Amino acid sequence: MKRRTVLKLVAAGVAAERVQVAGRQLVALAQAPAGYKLRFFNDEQNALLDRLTELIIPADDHSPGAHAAKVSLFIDLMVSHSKPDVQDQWTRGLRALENESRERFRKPFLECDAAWQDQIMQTISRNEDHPSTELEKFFRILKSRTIDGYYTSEIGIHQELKYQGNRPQAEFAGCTHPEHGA
Amino acid sequence: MTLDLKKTYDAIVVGSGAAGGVAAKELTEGGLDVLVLEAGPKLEPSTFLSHRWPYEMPFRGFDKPGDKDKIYPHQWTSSEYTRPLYIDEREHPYTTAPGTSWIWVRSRCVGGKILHWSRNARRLSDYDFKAADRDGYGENWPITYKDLAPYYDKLESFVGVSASIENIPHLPDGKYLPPFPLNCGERIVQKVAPTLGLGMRVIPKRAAMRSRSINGLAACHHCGHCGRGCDIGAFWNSISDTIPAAAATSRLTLRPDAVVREIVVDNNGKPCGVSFIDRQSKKDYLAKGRVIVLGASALESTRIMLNSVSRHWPDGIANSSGVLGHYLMDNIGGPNVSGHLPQLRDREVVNEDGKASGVDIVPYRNIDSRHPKFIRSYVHEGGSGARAFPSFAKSMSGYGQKFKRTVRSYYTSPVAFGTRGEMLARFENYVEIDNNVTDSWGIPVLKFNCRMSDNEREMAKDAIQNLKALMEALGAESVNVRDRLMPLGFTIHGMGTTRMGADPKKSVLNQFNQTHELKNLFVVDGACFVTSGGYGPTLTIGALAARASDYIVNQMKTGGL
Repeated sequence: MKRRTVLKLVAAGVAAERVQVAGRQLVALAQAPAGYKLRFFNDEQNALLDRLTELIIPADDHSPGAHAAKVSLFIDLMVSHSKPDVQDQWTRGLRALENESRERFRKPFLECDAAWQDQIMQTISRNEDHPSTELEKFFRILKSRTIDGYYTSEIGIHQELKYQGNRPQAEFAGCTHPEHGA
Repeated sequence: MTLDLKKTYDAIVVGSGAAGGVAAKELTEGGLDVLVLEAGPKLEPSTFLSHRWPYEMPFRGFDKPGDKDKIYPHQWTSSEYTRPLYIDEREHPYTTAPGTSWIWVRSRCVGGKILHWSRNARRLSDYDFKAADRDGYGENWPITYKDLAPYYDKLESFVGVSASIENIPHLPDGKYLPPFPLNCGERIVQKVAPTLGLGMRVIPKRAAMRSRSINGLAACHHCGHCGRGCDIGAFWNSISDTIPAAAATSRLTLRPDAVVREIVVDNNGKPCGVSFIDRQSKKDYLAKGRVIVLGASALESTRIMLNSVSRHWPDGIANSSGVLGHYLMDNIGGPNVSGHLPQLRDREVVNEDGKASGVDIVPYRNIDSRHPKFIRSYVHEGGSGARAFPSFAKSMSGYGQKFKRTVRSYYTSPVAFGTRGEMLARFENYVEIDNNVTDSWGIPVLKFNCRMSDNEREMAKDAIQNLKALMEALGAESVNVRDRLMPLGFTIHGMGTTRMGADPKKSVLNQFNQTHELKNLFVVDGACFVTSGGYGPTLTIGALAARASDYIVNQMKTGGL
């Protein structure tokens, strides 16, 4: 089921329960990870996480983003092996984000349009250096793990950063720019 | 060759890393039959994950969450890529006295820590060996630079050190292969640092890795992941160089998985062998030898000696002085800066981390003048260039397109420097045996009693202030300053605890790394150090091991042993 279709169902007033089911199918379609089964998050949480990671590192004209790099699945793996207090921080964070969205826009985060989603992102990233609220703290761990997952993925290393190392070569070429030397 | 328990070996070497490997080579090449006992397994270089991409690893190289806390809390340089190269702390506990700390990083495998070391191979000089003469603190070494220089030469000529000739009195030049070329950022630092007026001079890292092949040993192929173990053996790592050289003499017996418990003495209290436990079967063995050479790392060698208690040696073998275990040192570490060079942003990405060797800002304090707040000196190690993982991204604010572009833009411009400095030798810093705790083989463990002094703290303050000034002079952006002095042990340069000296009342070893009290007992690792110097001890450990081995061979030939 396409996202558009889900939204139509919502608009048509289909019962919330039914939407949830539809949402799950949407997630399954979007991710379809080869061989990876979610270990900690459920499908809804993963869909939300997938969107959040993509908002932090989106696709652009240079390279695909966190969604294509399946960063949410990396986070799921890491969180699944983490201590209960860390796991709680993630589930509470996702719930708080969802609540924020429903309070401010009366809609689940995933159903908000890009501008509304960005407003929420701005709110939670406001005090990045000194986070105090639950959501601000959640943004920190979310961003940190998104960076971990994205820049260690094939997309992150080869397409986005175009890292040139880790390949055997006979000679190492040093700097040849006269302006950099003494 | 397999171990022959009936045979009395000319020498038993305990440990197979920088010290043990060199001793094994020099002693076998000198004609001795040598047994090397190594506590860990023999690892195959083909199993090292030198070239593995993070996305090919189960946890992207970050480790399974929780493993580090549970299994490897102090093995801070280890990662998912290097597990077999480090110990499991559940099997190898140690304790610290209240209010003290020590980060004890250990490797038990053939080669030991030299399989994943930083490869900094700088010589010490008489500024170190005769430091007490210069500033009045502590003791001189019982050797001069001249005594050791031929052994530095020999070691460098064999393992290969890539470096530049600089004619710096306190950082003597050696027998070098061509240095690895500097990248753009490093050349910029080389140009700017001297303008600060602090006496900073930037030279290519003196790296015990081969820019050219010598002695049939591989040249570096610039993959950049030395810390994971080198699958082609292109740096001094014992398993590719000294141990094979020893084996080539047909006089080497290497016994891996031999966890040494103690040195065994005869009825006169004289060493006649080594008792060890098989790591896996946990069975006890006794190997016999005429000379015992400890090279198990400073702290493990000392632990063996402290555990070698008999009616002759109630306080540990060769310890009538009471000095055994004392004068524990590390180098200081921690103060570091990182930032970005604006002129290097948004460049085309080239391979810049492949050489895995940066630059040194050579020691500039307390050389020609005297600092009012502290004695001795320190070095800054650092470099520039794009690394695989942009860890700096975590300190870049924001999210979205702009954030992604910013990371990309800064990716080609990082510059970072850290500090390694001298820690003073002080009697009150020591290790002892904790009789309440044993390791998985029932061997009592070490208890650490070690604290910093104001000298280390003042040195660190000065270092970070100067690094901040350097970043300002470079016009660096997005600068991160970390002024925290790390707990001792952090630099993995454990030294002292069986120190050398001319006076048997104030030292354990004489100038040939031989115990004052027992002619046939030697300690050839970092335990012998009298001062810590301002940087990594490994090259000096190797040179001292070669010198001691030379002495053993000669003494055996002339009947002195």
